[in-house]
Amino acid sequence: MQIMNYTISPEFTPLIDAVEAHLIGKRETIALSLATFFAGGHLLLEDIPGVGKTTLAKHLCSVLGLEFGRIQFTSDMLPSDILGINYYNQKEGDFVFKKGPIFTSFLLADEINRSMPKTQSALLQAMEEGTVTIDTTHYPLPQPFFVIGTQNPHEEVGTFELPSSQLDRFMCSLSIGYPDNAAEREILKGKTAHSLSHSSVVLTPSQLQVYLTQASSVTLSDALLDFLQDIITFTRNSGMFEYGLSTRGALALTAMIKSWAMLQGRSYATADDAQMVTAAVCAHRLRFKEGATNAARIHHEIFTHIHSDT
Amino acid sequence: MRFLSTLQTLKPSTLGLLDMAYVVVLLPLLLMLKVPMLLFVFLVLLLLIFKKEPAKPLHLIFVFFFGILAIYLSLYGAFSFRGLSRLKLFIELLVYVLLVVVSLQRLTQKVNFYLLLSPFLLLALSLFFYHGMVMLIYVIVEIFILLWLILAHRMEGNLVESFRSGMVMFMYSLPWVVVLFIFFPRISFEHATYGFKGEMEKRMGHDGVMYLDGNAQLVPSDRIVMEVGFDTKIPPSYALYFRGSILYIDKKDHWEPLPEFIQRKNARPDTTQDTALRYKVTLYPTQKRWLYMLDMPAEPIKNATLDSDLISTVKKEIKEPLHYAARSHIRSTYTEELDEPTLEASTLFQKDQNPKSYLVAQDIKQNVAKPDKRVSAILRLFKDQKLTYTLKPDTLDTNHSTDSFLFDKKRGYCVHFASSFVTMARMAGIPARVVTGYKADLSNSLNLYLSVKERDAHAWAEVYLNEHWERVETTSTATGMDAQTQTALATQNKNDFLDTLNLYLLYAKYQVETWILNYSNLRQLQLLDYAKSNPKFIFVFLASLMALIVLTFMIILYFRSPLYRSQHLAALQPLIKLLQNKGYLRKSKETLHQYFLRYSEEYPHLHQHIALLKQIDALYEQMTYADQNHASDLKKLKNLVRTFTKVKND
Amino acid sequence: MKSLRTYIQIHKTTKRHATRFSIVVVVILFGLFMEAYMHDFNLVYITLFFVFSLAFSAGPIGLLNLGYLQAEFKPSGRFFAQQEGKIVLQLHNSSGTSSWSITVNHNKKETAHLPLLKGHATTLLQLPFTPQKRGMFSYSECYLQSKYPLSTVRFTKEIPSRFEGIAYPDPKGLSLQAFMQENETYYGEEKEFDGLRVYDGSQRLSHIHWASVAKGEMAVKLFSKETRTRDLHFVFERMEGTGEERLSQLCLWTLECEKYHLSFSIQMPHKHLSSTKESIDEILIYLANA
Repeated sequence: MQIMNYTISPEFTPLIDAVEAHLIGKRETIALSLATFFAGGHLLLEDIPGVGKTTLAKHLCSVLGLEFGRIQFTSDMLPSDILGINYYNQKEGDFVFKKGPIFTSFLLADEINRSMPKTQSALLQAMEEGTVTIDTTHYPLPQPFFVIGTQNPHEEVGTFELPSSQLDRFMCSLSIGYPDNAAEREILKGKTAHSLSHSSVVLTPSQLQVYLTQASSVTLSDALLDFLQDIITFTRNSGMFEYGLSTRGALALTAMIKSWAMLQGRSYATADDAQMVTAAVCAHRLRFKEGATNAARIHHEIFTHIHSDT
Repeated sequence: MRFLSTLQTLKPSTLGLLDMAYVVVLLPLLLMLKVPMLLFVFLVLLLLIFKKEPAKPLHLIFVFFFGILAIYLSLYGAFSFRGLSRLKLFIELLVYVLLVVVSLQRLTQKVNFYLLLSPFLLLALSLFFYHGMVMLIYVIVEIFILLWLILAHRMEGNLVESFRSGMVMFMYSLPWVVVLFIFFPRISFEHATYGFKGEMEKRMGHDGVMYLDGNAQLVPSDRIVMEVGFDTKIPPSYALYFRGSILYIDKKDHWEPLPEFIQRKNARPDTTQDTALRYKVTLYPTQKRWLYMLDMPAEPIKNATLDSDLISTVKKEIKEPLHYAARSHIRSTYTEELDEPTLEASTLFQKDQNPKSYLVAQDIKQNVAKPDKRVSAILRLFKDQKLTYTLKPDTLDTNHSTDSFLFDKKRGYCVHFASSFVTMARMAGIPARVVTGYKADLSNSLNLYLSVKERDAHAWAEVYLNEHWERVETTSTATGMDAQTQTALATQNKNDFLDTLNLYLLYAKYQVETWILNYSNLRQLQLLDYAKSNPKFIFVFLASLMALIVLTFMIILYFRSPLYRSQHLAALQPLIKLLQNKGYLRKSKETLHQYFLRYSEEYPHLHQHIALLKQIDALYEQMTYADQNHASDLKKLKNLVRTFTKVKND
Repeated sequence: MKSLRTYIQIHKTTKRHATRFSIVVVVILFGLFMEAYMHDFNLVYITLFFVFSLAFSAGPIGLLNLGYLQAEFKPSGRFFAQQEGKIVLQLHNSSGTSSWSITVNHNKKETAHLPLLKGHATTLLQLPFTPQKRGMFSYSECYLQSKYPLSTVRFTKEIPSRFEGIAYPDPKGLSLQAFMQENETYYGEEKEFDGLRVYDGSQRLSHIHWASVAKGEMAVKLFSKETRTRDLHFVFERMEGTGEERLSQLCLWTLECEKYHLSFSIQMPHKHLSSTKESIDEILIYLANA
């Protein structure tokens, strides 16, 4: 893996430390997840079961001080199971809307590829628009609204692969992966904090709001924009990928870069920030024509070939 | 900077580039086009501007016939098949035909091979028509621009990068051009004219007749008549008399030379080689036949005749700049045996025309025996009359001009002084004649270069004493100058700085014309001869050639170095170069920050370097990504980089 | 000294050819020479020498423009007989200065054009190529060409390596779905109510999902997933058509199975291929070489 250079600002280290207590050795993933949240996007976790996807989501939610909701997707799930339904209340003699589990500010959508496309798209549409529409009535979702979707890429039977247009709605995709030797040893020793213990570090809603606005006001210099355009052009013109990065993808990239720069405590973003987040933003959006697609390879191909003085 | 960025965004197509080339190439040709042809060009231009789509065949036929008509009208009268043997007409026809053909092809908006070639053909043809300093500069600029446009065509319209590449190529070729120009073997053909238009201007100043009346209004003009380059030294101010013509005959209101039918002996100039001064003259078109030489000419100029009065003339009027080499002895006298007609002409006077002067002259003739004393007496008389030098004299009574000048009006300029003096001298029995020409002003000289202007036109006298002619400066007898003339002359000299600048420019122009435009096999041989006798010169020559090569090489390096996105990135380059030379290479996907960080990790013992590198890194990051570009930051960055490169780490 | 050695090296690897513009230069030089010599005309001499030395300096400049480029073929997609594929060529500029106007030529025809490659930069070019028949092919006689700077000289540089690829049979024939609809009847399974689509009148009546009609909505369903995909077994010898047609059909089916994540096996005359044991590419290679 690429050696990354970053220093998280002291403002955010307690948050990350608090999550890391439960997920040892995954600082980078935690930090990127946090950045995705501050960038106002949604996160896709692609990994095998048992590496801590749910742990990450739970504890991230607890430090952010948000209301946690969880949906376990299954193949027989219908959109109404997520969004909610209008039912006839006989006492009142009228239709009443019963909110589905999606009405929460932090949603863990587990194994989204298990449900059928109709259900998937109901979720993804809500993610994109921030509202739920039932029978021409709009029900706004709480703000902030953050979805962590997980899927197991290796399972094939009985799954419905998310089409690339749907995947595009997730800002980032990350995989947690196995812990390294030292971290694993710590875990085996039982050094992990008790899963039920709630961390003492919690962000207040006002702080949350400040960070969200701060992340969107980070400066992108012309030099960096040149660099970003080189990246985007490369994904489209190199002929390596089936499709290039869409405009939505490009916007996601800039939002992530800004958010990541804020986590470093900077008011401006640099090329290092871009290098740091590109793989996460592109991993689920790009597919190599040949050979397996993984984040490290995307990172390698893009930054070996684009030549910008940064 | 804004200009640069617009240039950067401008990406002209092939047709656009071609149009730019046409503008550049056609500019000098437009000056020689006849009106119908100009109209045709104008029409094509209008069509190109207002009709964006390719022209239809009907339009093309119309333009074609209009073009034929324009050619016909342009050459109407001048044209005959015999006329084609004159190269000028032939070339003109060629230009016209080319213009029509190019216009037709251009209107179809299709670029073909021949259209791409046409700018070069037009350039080559335009060289036939002009031959001067301006054209020299223009041609060099033109070549560069054409090169630039070709490169822009190859580089898909990128004007900035193609300018840089063009500069590199131009500089590569410059030393070759210089060397080839100097050493390429030439043959000694005279520069042919083939009926091409020279400078058709008429020049005032000296002409063969000298008027005493109001015709002779003198306006001091700064037009250059000729430029003189001396080989070894420039003569002193009192010797700079250029002979123009010798006037013998007093026609009351003007003086005339002796008519040509009078048979006279040829001159016998003193051809002693060693004392003569060598110099080269560039004479601008005078529409006259005189060539001017310093007093006293030592030998005839090539292709010119030197008559018995040591006046040099050519057969045809001078209609374009003429260059000649001459030799003169710097002295004010020359020996000559007077033959009958000359003696007669130089002693003739009308007694009753100037009775008063005659009386005075008779008086001098009787009282003073020796001729030279008589001359002094006349000059003393002039002084006693308290004559005033003025550029605006009162009109003289031309029937009695000498009397009128000497005893009545007493105001005049060189012409009046000279004519009165000659009249008086003849009355006193001394053969005398008027000489007109130029007396150069030493303030118009620089090193060995001297420019002679129209205002230097002058008249003086020559008297025959003891078997030789001797020059008499008659104007020096004036006692004063009137205020008007003083101011008139003063305004000419007031702006010293501009005058000096002008002189330097003239000097530069003269040198360019001598050594570039009129470089020939003679000059080549001269140069070789000089080099043979002066080994030091070879050294100087080679050194300056080396200097030129080094200079062009530096310019090449400057333009070859890649264009950096920002000034601060350019400022970092010495540092990056240093690290790379140390064998510490940047990986392809590393950002500068990562590169510097890796360096700090790999060489933790270079404390000073690492501290500096941290500062540089932080500052660079600030400047590049935070959009805070202060000039002071750039300076600081440059300083840091400089200190970094100077720090010695072992 | 080092740079001189590099220059000589570049000089050796790069070839120069005259273009019609070089003839133009010669003609212009001759014309200007006549004009200058006859007239002893220094302006024309200067123009002449400029044209001469510019044309002369185009040599080294064009050489340096092309000489520092390094080309290398990269793994590039799948190729099928009679279908245009893209060969990926990686170009690297090892000098610090930009290279301009480069084309990649194959069999004397221009296949790709690159207007600019900056110093120390790497880029990927896609060269279109259509293999004529299945099996191994090699892409050779490929060279870089540039007319930079003046178009008077055409510089060419051979690409030392060559691209060896394999063209799979042209995927042609009946699609798997159509084939199976013709040959099989199929039934729903336990995931009865998945993959329903609203019936809009355009679908076949046989696709109507009657079970949902009973629930009150008119829906159609294609039972592609539930038809027995687990044992697709293709037998070469029992197929229709000529050998080539059969191979094309098998190739098409292989690709379709890959797309829908279906496992399958192929019984070739001398070999049994199975998607669980061999990768799709191995199967395709076998088909290409059969």
